[in-house]
Amino acid sequence: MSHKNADRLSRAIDAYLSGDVPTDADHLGDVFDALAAGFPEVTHEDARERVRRRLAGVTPSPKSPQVLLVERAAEELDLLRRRFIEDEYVPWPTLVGGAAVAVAAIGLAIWLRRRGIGSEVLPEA
Amino acid sequence: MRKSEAELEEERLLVEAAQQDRAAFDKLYDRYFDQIYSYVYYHCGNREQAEDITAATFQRGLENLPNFRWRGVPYSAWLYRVASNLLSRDRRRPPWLELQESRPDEGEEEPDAAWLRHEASTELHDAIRDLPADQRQAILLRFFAGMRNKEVGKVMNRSEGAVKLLVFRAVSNLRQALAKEGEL
Repeated sequence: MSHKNADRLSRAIDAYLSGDVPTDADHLGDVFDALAAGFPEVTHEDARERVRRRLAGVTPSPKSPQVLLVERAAEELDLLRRRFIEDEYVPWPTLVGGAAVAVAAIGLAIWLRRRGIGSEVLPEA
Repeated sequence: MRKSEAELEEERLLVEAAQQDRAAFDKLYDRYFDQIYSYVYYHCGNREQAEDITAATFQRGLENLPNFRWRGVPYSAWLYRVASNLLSRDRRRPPWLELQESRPDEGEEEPDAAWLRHEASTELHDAIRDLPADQRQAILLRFFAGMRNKEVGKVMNRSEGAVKLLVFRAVSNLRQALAKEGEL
């Protein structure tokens, strides 16, 4: 695995998606063409209307800082779970960062709760 | 596919309007429904699952709208992130069961050309299906959503370098798979 090759490919894709002709990955032109044309936007009017009806009763709900922090922690813990329970590649620096964010978020949420900050922004029941 | 500055500004104004008025969310919904639905559909290959995950994505998008802050990441990228998280949690059935027979309507076309294109597209979809989930996700976000590596990284919660490697592996795997099938 060459990081230089990955960089070169990345530049070629950026050039291709910008409409320029990629000069350093000409041999991949067919792959790019196939990928760019292979996924047309799917229009499904029935699904659009069904989902619109499902959303009709949903209202925006402002959340307290504690809830936002707990959600953030849950996202990071999910990242750890995917790395260790499922077969998904997550680089170690991202894992360590995620664990640190999760711990910090939970700690901050507990601190805010003890200070009584945030409950006033919860939506009215 | 890549968004221009004008499009991003328009999106920002739509989000602000929707934050003030629930009814204005419909414009955001109409603007992004097809994109999110298509992305989920190409990822999981099942219309019913795509509809459920798209509904859950927009529900979360609507509920969290008051908390959304524009910090260089468009609302649409945030919707992709929500959809990606839901996809990774929702693995209820084997993917790609119906994709080949439920292609989108593509209008008038010569029968031979349509057949050849359908065959090529089927091979590509088969090859994409065989990719690991994270490579498939990176390829779809790059080529379908037209995102840059940095944006893909934010959606997938990965570093920019990790995304580059994922795309590199995915393209290498696709080249091999399509070469075996005689496509390329």
